[in-house]
Amino acid sequence: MTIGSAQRARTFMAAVVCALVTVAGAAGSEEPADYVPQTGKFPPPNCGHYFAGELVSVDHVNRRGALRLIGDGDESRYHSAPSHRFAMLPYGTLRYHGAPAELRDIPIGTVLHGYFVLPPEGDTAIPLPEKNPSKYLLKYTHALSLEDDFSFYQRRGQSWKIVSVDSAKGKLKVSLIGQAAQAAGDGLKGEQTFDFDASTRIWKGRQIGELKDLMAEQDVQVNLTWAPDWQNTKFQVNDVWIDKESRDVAAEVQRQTHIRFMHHRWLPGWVDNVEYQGGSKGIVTVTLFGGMDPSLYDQARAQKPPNGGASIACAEKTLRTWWQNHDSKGGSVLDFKDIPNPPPNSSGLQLRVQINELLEGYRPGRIIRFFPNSFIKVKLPPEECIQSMDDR
Amino acid sequence: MNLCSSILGVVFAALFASVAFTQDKADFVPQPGQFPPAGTGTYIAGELVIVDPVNRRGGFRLDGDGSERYHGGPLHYFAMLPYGMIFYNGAPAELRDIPIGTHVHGYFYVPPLGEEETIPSLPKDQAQFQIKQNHAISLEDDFSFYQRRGQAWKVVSIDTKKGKITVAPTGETAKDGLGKPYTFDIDDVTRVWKGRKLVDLADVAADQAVQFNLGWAQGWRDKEYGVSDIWLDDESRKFATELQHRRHVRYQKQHWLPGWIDSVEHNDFGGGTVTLTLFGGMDPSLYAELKATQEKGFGVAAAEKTLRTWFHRGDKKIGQVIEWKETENPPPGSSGIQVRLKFTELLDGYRPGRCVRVKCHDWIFVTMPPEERVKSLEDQKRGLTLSLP
Repeated sequence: MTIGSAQRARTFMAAVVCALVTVAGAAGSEEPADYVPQTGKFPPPNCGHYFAGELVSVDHVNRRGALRLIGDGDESRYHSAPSHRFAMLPYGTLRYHGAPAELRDIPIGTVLHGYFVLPPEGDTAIPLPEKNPSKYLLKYTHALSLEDDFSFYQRRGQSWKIVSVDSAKGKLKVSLIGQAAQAAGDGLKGEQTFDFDASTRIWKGRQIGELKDLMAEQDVQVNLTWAPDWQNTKFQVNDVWIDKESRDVAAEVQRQTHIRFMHHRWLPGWVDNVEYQGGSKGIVTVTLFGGMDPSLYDQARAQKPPNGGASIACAEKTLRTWWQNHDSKGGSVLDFKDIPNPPPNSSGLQLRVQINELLEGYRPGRIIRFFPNSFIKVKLPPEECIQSMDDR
Repeated sequence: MNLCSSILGVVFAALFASVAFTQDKADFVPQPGQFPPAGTGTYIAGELVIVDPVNRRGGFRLDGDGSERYHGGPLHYFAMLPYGMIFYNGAPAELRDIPIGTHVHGYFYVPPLGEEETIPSLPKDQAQFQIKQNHAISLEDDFSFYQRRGQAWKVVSIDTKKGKITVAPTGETAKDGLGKPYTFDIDDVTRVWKGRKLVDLADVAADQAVQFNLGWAQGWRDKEYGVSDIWLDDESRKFATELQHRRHVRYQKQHWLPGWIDSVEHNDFGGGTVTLTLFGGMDPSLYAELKATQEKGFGVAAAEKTLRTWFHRGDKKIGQVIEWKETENPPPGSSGIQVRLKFTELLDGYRPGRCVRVKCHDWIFVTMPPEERVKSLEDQKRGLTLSLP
C-alpha cells in the first residue's frame, strides 16, 4: 500500500463527499421536510434526517441493518425502543475509517452517523410491525449515508483535542475542535468524557500503541461504542488514532478493501435513458452513484473512444446482481460527461454505452452495475447473487 | 496473560484432540445438563457470512468441494450450543468479534432433543443440501484453529505480481483443516502484521513461520482462499491474542460467566442449595477471580440457551459459596469448575439443566444494552428460532 499515492485521491474524495453530505445533512437547526425518494432522481440537498447509533445487526448482502440510537436521557426510550432498522438507498453511501466502505467492513458495535429519509413509495424493505408498533418507531428508515465517528468528524474538518487522561478511572476528556466545532449541527459537541480501558486500541503511526501513548493536547479521532450509561449519551472508546500517519494508514487500508470490492462487484449506478436503434440495439445512458474512490471513476472515464468499452449488469435496489458475468451486455463507451455540481449521492459521471442486445433491465430509473473493461471479471460468492425470483 | 493463554491453549488442545480424531462417529444428541463426550462432533469449515450475535447464531458458506453445492447450495445456518466456545486471534471471543468474511472451523452436533426447529429445515428444493449437524460446540478462525493444535505455516514462496503465496504446514499437523502445502491468493488488501506494526507485503519472505486468516477467493468452489491477515512473527501473534483477550475479559465481566445448574436442593420457605457448573472456553483469569472472591458470594442470573439474560443486575440472587470443586480433564464445553451455593430465595430459572450467568462480587454491575436482554415472553419465544436480519 502506498500512502502517498492515495493522498490526492483522498483529498478530492473528501471534498466531494463533504459537499455531498453537507447538503444532504441537516446542518442547521431546521427540521427537513419529509422527502420520499423518487425513481431515477437523486434526492435534493438537506432532505435527510440525522440519526446516530450503534450498529447492532447487519444484513450486508442486502445492505440493511439496525442501530441502537444514541441515548437522549429518556430512560423509557432507551429501554423499550426497538432497534432502528434501516435499508441503504441504492445510492446511499457508506464510509469507514475515512474511506468508502460496505456494511460488511463495519464491525458490529460501531457508532454510526446517518442521514435518513422515508421509504420510496411501495418499498417494503423495512416492514412495519404487524401489531403494537412501538411509539418510538421512526419512519425514516432509508439511509442516504452512514459513517463511523472517524469519517464523520474528519470529513467535517473536526477532531478531538485531549483535555485529560485519567487511566485510573478510565476516563478520557476531549474537546471538539476544528471547523464550526462550536456551531449548531449534528454529532457531539464541546467537551465530552468517554470511557476507555485496556480493550481500547491506540493507533500510533503504523502500529498499535499503548494507553500511556495518550496525552493531553493530542488531536485525535476516535471510534465509539456502547458504554453502560449509553442512555445518557455516554460512550466507550473502541479505537483512538493519535497522529496523522495512523489515520492515513487506517484510511488507506479501508480504501484498498473498497477498491477490490468494487473491482469485483462493479460500480453502481442507474439508467438515465435508452435510445432504441431497432432490432435489439440501443444506446444506454447511465449515471454512476457517488461515494466511490475517485480512481474507480477515472477507470470508467478511461474507457472513452476509440478503444474503451464497458459492460452493464442489471441490479436490484440492494445493488445485488444475478450472475453479472453472464447477465450483462457489453459495448463501446461512446462518450462521457461530468455534470458540474452533481446532486447529493450522484457521482456526476454520466456515460453512454452502445449495446447490441439490450437487456430487460435496461430501463430508465433501474439500477445497474457498470464494469469498465479494465476491471477483471470474477464470479461473486453465491449468497450475494440473486438466483431465483423467490430470492429476489 | 501469557501464562493464561498457554494454560488455555493446553486445556483446549487436550479437549479437542480426541474430537479431531474421531469426528465422524455416530451422531451424539446433546442432552440437557450433560456435556458431550470427548471424541464426538463433526468438523465443518466455511466463511462466516451472516451473524446474529445476540442469539449466538449465524450462517456460513461451506468450504468448496469442487461440486455444484457452491452455486446451488444454501448457507449452513448454525446455533452455538450454550457451552459452545468461540475463539478469534487465539483468544476466547464472541460472534460479534469475528468479522464477516472470516473463514472459521467448527465442530457440530445434531440439535438437542426438542430444539430441532431452532434452525429451520431447508425448503424441499434444497433438501439435498441439508446438513443435520447445525449446533456448534466450537467455532474458531484459522489463527486460533491451527495455533491451538501446534500447527504453523512456513512460507515457501510469495509472488506479489501474480498475487500468490505458497505455504507448507510446520509443527504438529492438525487432523482437520488444511494439512498440506497450499497456495493462497494474496494482494494489497491483505493486512501484514509484524510485531505491533502493520507492514507491507514486501515484508513477507520465504521460511517465515506464520499464521493467517483466510477469506473468500474466486476459486472458492475448488477450495481456494484469499489471505485477509498474516502474522509474521511471535510478537505479532501474541499481541493479536492479547487484544482479543482484553476485549473478551471486558465482555464477560459485563455479561457474567455462563454455566448451568446441575442440581437444586430445596429448603423450606423458598431457599435452597444450588450446584452449578461453569462452561469452559473463558479466559482462566476470570475463573481465578471468581475463586479468589468466593467468600463474598456470587450473583446468579437465570439465562436462556442463547446465554441471554433478562435484566441480570436485577433478576438475580446472590448465593453464598459453600463448595468450590475443580475436576481435571473435564468434558468438552465444561470448565471443570463446579460450585455449590446457598440461597435464601431461589429463582424460577434455577432448575437442573437450565443456563445461568455468574457474577464475581468484584465486577461492576452494569445494565446490558436493551437489544441483548430478553424483555418479554414474546421476545423469549422469538429467540427460540433462527431469525436473521
